[in-house]
Amino acid sequence: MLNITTEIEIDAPAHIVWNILDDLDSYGEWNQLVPELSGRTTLGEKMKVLFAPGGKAQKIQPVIHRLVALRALHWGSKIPLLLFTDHGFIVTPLSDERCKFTNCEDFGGLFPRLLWKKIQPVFEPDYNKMNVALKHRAEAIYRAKFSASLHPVIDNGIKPAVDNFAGGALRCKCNDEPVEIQVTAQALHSYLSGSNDDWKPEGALFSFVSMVPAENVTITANESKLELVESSDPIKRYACKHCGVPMRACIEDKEHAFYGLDYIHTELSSDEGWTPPTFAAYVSDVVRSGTKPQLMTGVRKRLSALGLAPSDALSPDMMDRIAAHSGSKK
Amino acid sequence: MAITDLHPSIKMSESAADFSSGELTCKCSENPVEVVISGKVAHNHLCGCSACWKPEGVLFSQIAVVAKDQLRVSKNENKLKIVNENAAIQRHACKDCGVHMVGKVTDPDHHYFGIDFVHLELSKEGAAKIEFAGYVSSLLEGGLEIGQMGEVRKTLVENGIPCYDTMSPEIMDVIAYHKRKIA
Repeated sequence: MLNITTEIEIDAPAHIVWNILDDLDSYGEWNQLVPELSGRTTLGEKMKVLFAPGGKAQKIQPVIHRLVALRALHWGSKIPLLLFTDHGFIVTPLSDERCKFTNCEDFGGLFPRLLWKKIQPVFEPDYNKMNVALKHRAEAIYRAKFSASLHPVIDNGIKPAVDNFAGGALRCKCNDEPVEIQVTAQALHSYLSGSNDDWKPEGALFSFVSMVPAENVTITANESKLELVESSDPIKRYACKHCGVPMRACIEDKEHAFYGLDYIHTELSSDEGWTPPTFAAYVSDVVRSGTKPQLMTGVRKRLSALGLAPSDALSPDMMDRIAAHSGSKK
Repeated sequence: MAITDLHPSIKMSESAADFSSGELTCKCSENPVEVVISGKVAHNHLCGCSACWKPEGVLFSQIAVVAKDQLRVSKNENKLKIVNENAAIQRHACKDCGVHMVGKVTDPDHHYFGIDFVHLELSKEGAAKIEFAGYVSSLLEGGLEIGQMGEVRKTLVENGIPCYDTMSPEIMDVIAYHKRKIA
């Protein structure tokens, strides 16, 4: 079997390198060997690839025949007797901050054997160039700070809760006749949420959610403008029909671990002193709404630096309560 | 609490050779099912969920993945039975000893399509490094008391094993990205 194997060590975590490789739309920005790649990275998928070793672009349609997310992607072409190829992108973690990228290809069949003296000297240097470009891109992303807005309540520093703060009024965004609710307690369990089920202000990656005892929540003005938002979620969200802002969400299921609590957005209050967010929930969900996964290390680092431990679920304490509650029902 | 209380075959040494090929054998003394792995395994981790197989009396399951073209049932395949046909990961268990030999994903749209799940403690070669512990809070659904969770989490972290109530952030990001791709 004829083979080209090239390798490079990269000062960035393996997952950043993998996510750059899986960001097919951006290949044109950095990859001269593979300037275009489309299809879905799924086992068995036929990809459309512009492959340009030596600067000579050719369109190929290889099939993905091995895929282990974050570690290995192999694709290849097959023409019986004439051509067999297996091109592998392999990412091997060396530590939490360092990895090795292997860019390798096996060649079989008549064509590569006849043309090897023309293939190998052209392909190998370009595989190495691709590796260097990948290294530069990954290391730059790993070094960069994530600076886009996470949420206005934390973007310019977190304001602490005020002692003995006992609630306030929340109003929707309508200028005329806003829906108003009065909350007569300080918020409990305040956190950022990456979930798309939770309302996010314009331009923010996260929602800011607080829980309060339902008995402390009263609708005090323009209740007729509130309507139930259609959702399969067991949590019922009530939003203003006009401006769309959700004013409260209720847990109607008595079996729910957090039955008795309502969800509110305290940023809708002009009163200051509410409990600030204490952790970040459902962080990976922001990838679903468009944040590139290779930027998520930057998002999590910034959250951690603000003291908001990132979780892809709720906080460990809340998850334990939910699991214990569902265990006790069995 | 000692780390071996969480799982007896955890290899904590950084230098533990990465598992790259070997055979898994079920617990039957006669005609055991045998699975051959012919490639590098990845993402070896502990799992607190109740669906994964674990040895008797152990809190966590230990589970890794391998590319599905690099796994083959080599002996006594007829003894394998799917535990739950409706689960996204179909766990193939030995009918006689109950050990799960491989978990397979058949839906091409599923985020885990392309990999098989294996328990490396079933091999002579032993384990690979544990990268993280997932679904830790799910231990409570299996009967652990809430007061014990602090110690479980502390023991894991002190031994260099990050703990999560889902999969690791890297894997959760890949799953989220996959969901966006198929949306």
